[in-house]
Amino acid sequence: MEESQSSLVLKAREGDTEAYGKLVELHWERLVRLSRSMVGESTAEDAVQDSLIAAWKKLDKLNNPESFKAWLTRIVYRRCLWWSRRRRFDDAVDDLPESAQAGDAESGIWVEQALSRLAPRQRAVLHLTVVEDLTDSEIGGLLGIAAGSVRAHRRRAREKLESLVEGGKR
Amino acid sequence: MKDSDTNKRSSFDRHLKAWGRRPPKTPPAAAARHIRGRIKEVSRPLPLWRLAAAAVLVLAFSSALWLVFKNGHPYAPVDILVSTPTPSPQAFEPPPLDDNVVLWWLDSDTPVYFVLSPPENGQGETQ
Repeated sequence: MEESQSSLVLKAREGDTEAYGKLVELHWERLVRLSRSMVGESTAEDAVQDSLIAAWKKLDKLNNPESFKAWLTRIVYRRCLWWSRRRRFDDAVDDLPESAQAGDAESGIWVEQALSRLAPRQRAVLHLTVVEDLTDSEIGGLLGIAAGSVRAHRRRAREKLESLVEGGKR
Repeated sequence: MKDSDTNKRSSFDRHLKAWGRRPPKTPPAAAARHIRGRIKEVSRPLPLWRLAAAAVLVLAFSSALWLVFKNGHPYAPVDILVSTPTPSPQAFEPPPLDDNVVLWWLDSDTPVYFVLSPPENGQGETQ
């Protein structure tokens, strides 16, 4: 019978590295997806690994094991904000094509280029809205921000993208 | 919002979703193995309250020691007067006794001499 996540968190808090490894497996993909949208492809996994090491060190400060998912996401989010201040987003280029060309690789480049023009918080909110299909309150709970802030970040992201696609550089 | 704007947004969202949902390069199990290896090398910092409690204990113990030894060592050796041993009756050599003198030892320190007088005197002397 699979262990519950709360049980794994409690074991990990006592120093059980096997339990922490299982938690990493459960959350790895989701966290890398968020990190990729915030800092780009090449540094996404490094940022998440750093975050997971930092989370391990602070695990005894987590009072409620039920909130582990949100707690961990917040750590990754803040670590990615820190990374984005120090590193340029992947594939950040000046010329932004109007739309994606045929083919996954080109559309991926187009998406990354578009994301690179947004602020890191806007990237995170857009990712959680579009890719993870979360509601404003769910996003606010994960990132530790109010639902109103979530809407504001998303609106600014949309406005920025529209202005970029229409050819203006801001 | 114009239809063209909606179409552009939908197009971007579709591409973002497709791009964003790609699996990571490192599979979860491999990532977990790597993280487990790294955290084994990392020791968790002691909670702040434990460090503070240890510091308080050390301070209290040091203060107690300082107070105790402030005026000298409480257990300084005391001069103990060693008396000379009391000579035992066996070691003590009484002076030669006359025929009418009897030496009795009341205890190890107290010799008693009985001087026996002839019957015609009626009394003896003790010393």
